Formats: sequence, C-alpha cells, structure tokens
Amino acid sequence: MHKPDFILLAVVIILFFIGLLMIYSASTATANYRGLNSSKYFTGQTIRTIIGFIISILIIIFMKHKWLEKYAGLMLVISWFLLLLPWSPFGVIVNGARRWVNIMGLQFQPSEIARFTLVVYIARYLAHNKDCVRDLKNGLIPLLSVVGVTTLLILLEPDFSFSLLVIVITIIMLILARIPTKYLTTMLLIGTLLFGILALATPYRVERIKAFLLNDQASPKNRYQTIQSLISLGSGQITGMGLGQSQQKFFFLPEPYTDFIFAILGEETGFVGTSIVMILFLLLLYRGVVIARNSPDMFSYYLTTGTIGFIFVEAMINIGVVTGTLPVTGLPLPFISYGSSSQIVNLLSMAVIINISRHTVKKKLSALENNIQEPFRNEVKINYVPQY
Amino acid sequence: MAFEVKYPRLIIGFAVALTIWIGLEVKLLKIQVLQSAEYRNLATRQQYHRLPQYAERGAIFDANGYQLALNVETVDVVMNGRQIKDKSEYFRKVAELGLDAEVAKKKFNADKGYIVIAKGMPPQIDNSIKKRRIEGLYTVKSSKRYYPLGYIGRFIIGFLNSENNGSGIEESCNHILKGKDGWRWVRFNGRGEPFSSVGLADQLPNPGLNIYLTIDKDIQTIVEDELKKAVEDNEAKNAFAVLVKVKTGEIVSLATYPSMSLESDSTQQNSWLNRPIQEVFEPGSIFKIFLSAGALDKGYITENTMINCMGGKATFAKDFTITDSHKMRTSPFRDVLIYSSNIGTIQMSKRVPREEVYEIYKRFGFGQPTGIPLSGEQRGYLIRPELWSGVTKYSMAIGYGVSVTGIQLVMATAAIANKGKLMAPILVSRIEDNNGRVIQSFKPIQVRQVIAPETSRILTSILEDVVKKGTGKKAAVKETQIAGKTSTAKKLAKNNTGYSNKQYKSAFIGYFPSKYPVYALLVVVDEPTGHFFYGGDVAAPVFGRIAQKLLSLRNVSEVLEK
Repeated sequence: MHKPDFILLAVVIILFFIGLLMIYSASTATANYRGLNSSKYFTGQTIRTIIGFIISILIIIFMKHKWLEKYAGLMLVISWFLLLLPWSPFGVIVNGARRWVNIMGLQFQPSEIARFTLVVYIARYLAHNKDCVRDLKNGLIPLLSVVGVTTLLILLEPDFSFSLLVIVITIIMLILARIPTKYLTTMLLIGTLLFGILALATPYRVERIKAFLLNDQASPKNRYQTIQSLISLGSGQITGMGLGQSQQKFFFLPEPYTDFIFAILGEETGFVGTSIVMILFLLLLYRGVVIARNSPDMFSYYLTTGTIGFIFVEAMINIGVVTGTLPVTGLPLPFISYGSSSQIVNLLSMAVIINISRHTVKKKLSALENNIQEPFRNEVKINYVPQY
Repeated sequence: MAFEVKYPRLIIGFAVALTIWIGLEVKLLKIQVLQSAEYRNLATRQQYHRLPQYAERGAIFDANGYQLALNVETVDVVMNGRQIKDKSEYFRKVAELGLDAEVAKKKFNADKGYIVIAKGMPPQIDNSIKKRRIEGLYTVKSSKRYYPLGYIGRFIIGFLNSENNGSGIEESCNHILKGKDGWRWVRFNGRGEPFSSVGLADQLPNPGLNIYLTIDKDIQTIVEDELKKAVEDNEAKNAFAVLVKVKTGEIVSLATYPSMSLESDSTQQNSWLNRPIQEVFEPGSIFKIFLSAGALDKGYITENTMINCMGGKATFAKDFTITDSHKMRTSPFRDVLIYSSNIGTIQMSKRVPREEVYEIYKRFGFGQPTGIPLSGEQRGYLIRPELWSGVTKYSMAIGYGVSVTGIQLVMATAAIANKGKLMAPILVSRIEDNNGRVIQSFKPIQVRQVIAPETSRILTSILEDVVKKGTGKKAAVKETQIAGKTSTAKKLAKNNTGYSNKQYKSAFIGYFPSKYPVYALLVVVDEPTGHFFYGGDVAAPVFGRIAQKLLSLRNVSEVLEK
C-alpha cells in the first residue's frame, strides 16, 4: 500500500470546484424566477459535495475494494430493486419520466446507482471468468443478460441516452477483455438495430436527430437549444465575458446549470476555461489508464477502466452536444452539472478508484500485454503484501 | 499475437479517446475563437434591443396660459406570446380586464415577446393585471392627448392621428410640438422581458416645444356659444366667426359651429372644414366697404358725392338687373353705404378705373392667403382685370363674382379700423421650451398701409351710422359704439340656374369701440331658414351680443380703459 494518486484527486477536486462556481453563476436567474433563494441550487450542491467528500475520504483510507468484488452481485440486485421503485408510490414523475425516487425527503436517481453497480458486477464477472468473452453460452450470454435487464429497467423510465451510455461502457469493457471480433460485430449490429428502432419510435427523438442531421434546414424550434448553446460558447471568445457575466443564462439557454452548463462555462471563461476543463478530463482519463495499467488485480483493472471510461464518455457526449457535434441528449457533465445522484455516485466511484490507486503495482507494459489475464491471477495473491 | 503485444487494447482505447478529445477541442477552437465574432453578434442581437423613447409632445396654451392641449399618462398593454401556456385561460383573463380579447387573439404569436394589444389605457389597469397575476401580460407607459375644453376651439387646436394626418395647430405645428424621439438600449432575457438598461449609446428624447396661442379660451367659449345659439335660432346650416385685435392682428377667437366631432374620425371629412379659413364664399354687401375705402382714399369720391340710386331698380347690362331692398333716389355716398344700396355702389364703381379697382382689392389682401399658421388656408379668387367681362366690376363692387375667406375679410376690415394699416394675422404668440424659456416670439407684422388714416376716419363714421340708423341697427349695444356693415349674400343655386332666392349667407362685419378700435369681428350665418334672413337681422344681433359679453369680461374692459 502506498500514497494515492494525488493528481487524480486534485483533478476531481478542481472539477468539483469549477462545477460549484458555474452552478452558482448559472442557477441564480432560474432560482429567482422560481421564487427561490438565488443561491438555493448552489447551497444544496455544496452541502452534498462536502458530505460526498467526507465519505470519499473514508472510502479512500479504509475501504478494501475486495468488499465491492465480494458483494457485486448483491449490490446489482439491490439496484434492480431500486430501479423498480419509481413505479411505486415513492416515484417522482418529472416531465413524464420516472427517473426519481423520494424516500422520506431523500431524492435520488436509481439509474445512477445502477450504472455503478453494473460496472462493478461486470468487472467482477470478467475478472473471475477467464475467457468468458470467448464462451458464448456460459460466458457472454449470462453477462449480456444481466446487462440487458439493467438497461431495460433504465430504458423503461424512460432514459434513452443513459441506457445507451451503459451499453457503450459495457462494450468498452468487453473490448478491453478481448472479446472476439465476430461476437463484437454481431453485438454492435444487434445493438444498433435495437436502439435505432427505439430512437425512431419516439417522435421527439426523431425531431432531435433530424434537427441535428439537417442542421440549417431544420425548424428553428428544434435547433433552438443547439443554437443557443453555440451562441453562449461563441460569445465567450478566448477569455470569456467574466465570471457571473453570462447573458445566455437568462432564459436564452435552456438547462443552463444542468445539461448545458459547459456552454455557460464557455461564455464566462472563454476558450481558456473550456480548454482547462477539457484538459482536466483528459488528465482524469490518463491517470485512470495509468492506474488500470498498474492495477493490483483484474477486478481493479476492469473497475477502473469501466468507471473512468464511463465518466470520460459521458463528459465527451455532453460536450459533443453542447458544441453541436452530437444530437441533443439529456446527459449531464460529470462533476460540473447540477444533480444530486450523479454527483454523489461520481464522487464515490472516484473515491474507489483513488483507493485502488493506493494498491497499484509498477509493471512493465509488456507484462500486462502478453497474456492479459495470467499475470493478474498470480498477483491476486500478492495483493496484500505491502509494496514499500 | 505480435500486434497486440505492441499495442495493447488499453493503449488503443486511450488513443481513440484522445482522438475524440482532440476533435472536440478543435471544435471548441472553431466556435470560441474562429467563429466567435459571429456568435457574439448573434448574442448581442438577441439580448439587446433598442426601445424607442417617445418625446413628450408640447402642450398648447391660450393667450392667458390656460392649457388647451396636454398629455395625460396612459399605459399600453403588451402581451408576451412566449409566456402564454394556456391560451383560452389567458384570453378569458384578458377579457375580464375589459380588454378586447378578440384583438389579442388575432395578434397572438407564440414566438413574439412584445405585442401591443391595447393602447392608451388608464394606468390603473396595471394594478388589475398585477392583482390577477396574469403571466405574459404587462403594461408599458405611454401618453394620450387630452383637450380640457372639449369641443371648444377644436378647429384651432385640431388633432393628429397616428398616420400624421390631422388638422389645426396640432398638424400645422407638429414639427414644433412633436420633439425628437430617442431610444434606449435595453437588455432582454430569453423570455422576452426587458430587465435592465445598458446606459450606453442611448439617445434621450427631446421633448416638444410648447405653443402659446393668441386665442383667449373665455372669449372663444363666448363666441362658440353665440354661434350655436345663432344656428339654432335661425335654423341655419352653420355659422362661423373671427375676432382679431386690430392693432396687432392677433386672432382672439376663430370659431365654427357645428364644431368638429371630438373623435378624429376620418369618415366625417366634411365636418373638418375650418370655415373661417378654408371656406370661400361670395361676400355680398360687406365687400362694398373695400371699394368705397379705395375710392375715398384715391379721391374718386367724397362721402358727400351725390350718387344716383335710380329708385331701387336698374339694368346695367343684358341680364344684369339690380334691385335694392331700401329704395333710394339720388343720395350722398354716405347713405349709399349706410342703407347698402347696390345700385348706388355700382354707380360709384363706375368712377374708378378697372385696374384701380383690382389694385384696391389686392391691397386689402384679397386673392392671397393671409399666412395664418394653419394648413388648408384658401386664397379665394380675385379675377385679374384682363379677364373681366362688362359687368365683373359692378358685381364685384357689391360682393359677387369674387370669392373670399372670412379671415381675409376680417383682416381687411381690421386694416380700416387700424388707421389703414393691414396687419398679418397672428395665431401663435410664442414658442417656449419645457423650462419656460422663450424660443421664438411673434411680433405684429404690418403688411402695408392700405388707405390713409383720414380715409379710415371717414369710413368709420359712415360705418358707425350703419349701426346707428342703417341696416346694422340690431348690432348696437349700449356699452360701446360699433362700426360695421351687414351683408345678405345670395348663394348660388345648387341646380346651376344662377342665384337662389332662398339660400343666403347672412353676415355682419365690424369693429369696436369705433373711436379707438380694439377688436374686429366677423359673424357669418349660413342659410338661415327661420323668420329672418337679412344680415342685419340674423348676424348683427350675434355680433352685438358677442361684443357685449366680451366687454363684460374683466381683462377686456381693462384693456379698453387704457
């Protein structure tokens, strides 16, 4: 056991700090309009972040990731149960979607919890069943069934983009587990077909996709969010209009403190600010790769890649939407967007990764490569031997 | 596999992620650096709007500083289409406020944040809107023109509609009254609500200037009341009057009855006619005094020159037979005028050469606009001598074959009263800015000396006799001596068969006090159909009553005592 990855820790802290700053600026107008205290959203987010950090410190210091490995299955089943809660009287319906649960004043999104436990479960499954990706009947199909159930439950809420993200992460983890090309291709084909049908079956998604593909020919109403987002980013220019100086947050830009917070960041801090956040996410990914590469066991390896991958992909999709590169989805920007569940889950999952970083083993790159699973089998045993 | 040894999947994955990252970073560079000017321009265009700041219109005052036209605060009701969620509920609430929901429905546009649905509403409506918490409905300050006197003086003050059409001072002096509109840059939010001024590049409006008229609202009221009475008593079509101060040419009253309707309704074009300046007519006997003045002045006759009045009936040319209602034989010229003998006047005109006749009329100002600052002033028609037929001179001498306006008649008569000096009419005495600083004041302008003071004196003594013992007896009042002349002009028949024997324009023109004239007044009553039709019976009493009431006003009697 050694010191944790302080760079990764710093990246997470800085991203949260930027997030709180941007939420303060972006949410005041909406809070005032809704007759709330202007710092209501900021205060709530700050309190949650502080509580999250306290728990995170405990996780970093005291947690053994073996615990996660041991209870992965149980946690996933609990998550499924939670995913059913929105259909119970505890469910809160927002804009026609059952994504929220309210139990005695505690509001949370079961899907955010499920996406973490699913990654933990997949990591355990891949680590424990060597060559499972090559075994269709006894390996791949049981795993994909578990993933399928989780995705279906999220899809029913309905949360289309989030379930798509879950699938993407599963595929990334399977690729890292060296899934044979023929299975991968088949999976991608079936996946694309299924999600394609689902996308085309809902009128508003068709509109969004049309708006994205047709660009200028689409009606201004469908392009409105993207146009406003681009105006926000563009008017920030290189150095931005200054903190708190966003004009677009005054109801031009929809969701200024959640899905489109990156646009407000761009408006207030310019290209410099957006690039800093971009670099922080790249650094996050890089540190994640380094930790994964040196991870003490296969479970840690898959858990790190899955967790970091999820956050990075979500961030890139969000920024892709904000820059008009992707059609509009409802995904938040990790660490920065306002949102209780995603933020807590992101924070705690990062704490788990930083905890793992305390147990990394320096290895030559080639040791990892030749047989990706064999060396780790051995190293599981030496896992608890102090390194220093 | 060698391939996988060299490039493990973790590294490939990182490379793929890095590529995506670089792509997005390039996209950000494009948006925030390369195309940023374009986006900032778009941002400015949707966030900032130039709101017009209307200049406050100048007020119109009478000679004593009484407000004739002013602005009252009102509000315009504005609908924000973007904020309206439940349309039927919204329009029901709009109707509850007493606004026209149909208009609002027609103008509704879900993409527009600023739609005016009612103008000039009382400011209290703002409270009702706030009380009902109607989302998407608010008010914007505006103002409305208000005329405290109602229909009194409406022809002078006039109006101006939103298309800049109008009448009176409001229209003719619009360039002075309107001021200069400015603008204000205002930041709007995405809901279409203005929420802060920018304070930069704003242009403050320049308020319009105030206009002070020579009109006296008390006198104007007296005159209009008397005209109303005259029209009603004589069952006439209409009547008008002009009262001027002879020394300065200041117009004290300019009145027409029936008055213009208060609504600036364009369907009633005819009622817009400001008769004293816009209606031309054949003046009849009143016109005799001008040729008489000229002939006396040039020495063609004296007041005692004997004129053959031919016993009341004479034929001067084929189809030109003239009769007098007061039959006279050979009489001194004084009596010709006192008893308004047509034949005598024509006989007198024979002594004056035609160029001279034309010159006399022209010097009194006929055939030319007087220059009163109201638009639509008519110039009348004075035929040039080259075009005269054999009887033109004769008919003109008795006020036919010539057309004039009331204001021309009054100014010409005032010249006789004013020792022969023709003054230009003044309607606007001064222009002031909001702080009471005089921007321009209008001093009396003498146009020309038309006749000698001595001629003026002789003519006045004749015109005094018209009232004392001639056709104008009913104008006499005990308070002062009036000098004047009656007229009963036959109107042209509608069917083009010459002059009518039923339709008359009865008039009286004169000035008082005759010893030191202060006021000149013309009263014209059109088509009296009651018991009387002679000017001496219809218009003269009106003249007398106006003079009487005028003299009872304190500020007037003070002026006269000086």
